[in-house]
Amino acid sequence: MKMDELVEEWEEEDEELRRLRRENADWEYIEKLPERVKAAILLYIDTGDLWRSAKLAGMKVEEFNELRIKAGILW
Amino acid sequence: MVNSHARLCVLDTCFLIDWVRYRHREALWRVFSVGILPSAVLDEVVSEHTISVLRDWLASGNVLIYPQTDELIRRAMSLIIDLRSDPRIPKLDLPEAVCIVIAKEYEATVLTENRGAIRAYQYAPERIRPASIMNALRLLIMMFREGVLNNTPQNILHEYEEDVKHRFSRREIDRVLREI
Repeated sequence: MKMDELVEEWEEEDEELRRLRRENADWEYIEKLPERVKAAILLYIDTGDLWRSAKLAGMKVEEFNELRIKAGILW
Repeated sequence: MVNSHARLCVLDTCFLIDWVRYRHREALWRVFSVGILPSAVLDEVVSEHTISVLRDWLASGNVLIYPQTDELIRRAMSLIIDLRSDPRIPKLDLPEAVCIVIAKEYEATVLTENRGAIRAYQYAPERIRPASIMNALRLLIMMFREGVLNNTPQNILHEYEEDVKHRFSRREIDRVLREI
């Protein structure tokens, strides 16, 4: 596969995952979270980046991962 | 000193915390002889289950802890800066860069779920080698192909997704099945 095609496929894949995270998230649960943690969950929904999101939340990565699952974000 | 014939992996946090939930997690040691665990990764682990699995792996000698040093951080930062000189290469963060620096030293495979790291390797493998980078999806398909896991690829991936509560992109599954 050519690099341009690969990059295009990555962009489509990112968009698909972002949509799945947004659509499947438990927004009622997320709305009740403290502001900093909520911001981190929103970052995760946008990027899928666990480490950056955990650090924004002020949490260990595994702790944040548990939160991700509780928030119904499986992608 | 690590045996030069050993098949080594470096465990990144995002991979490790998923993989320890997987029912066939011990199959990892049928592919790799030693897993290198950067101490910064260990610092990100909190659950009793993960600690318990790591305790067993440390006791059996499957896993060894790699200390974080100023030199390691300096080399990881240099790698990040080097890769950012080409804007087309996906961006790395420090944790994955640390894993890659260790893996380059020992010609090991970094196991990570970080998309930036996996894509950087796909885009510019010559900047990452002699290390290689894989996520659980690629590892599971490789385990299927090598006969380590005896099931259909569909069932293997379904079991993994059920156990770890992390789903793969369907597009990525199709691509990896073509790649490997």
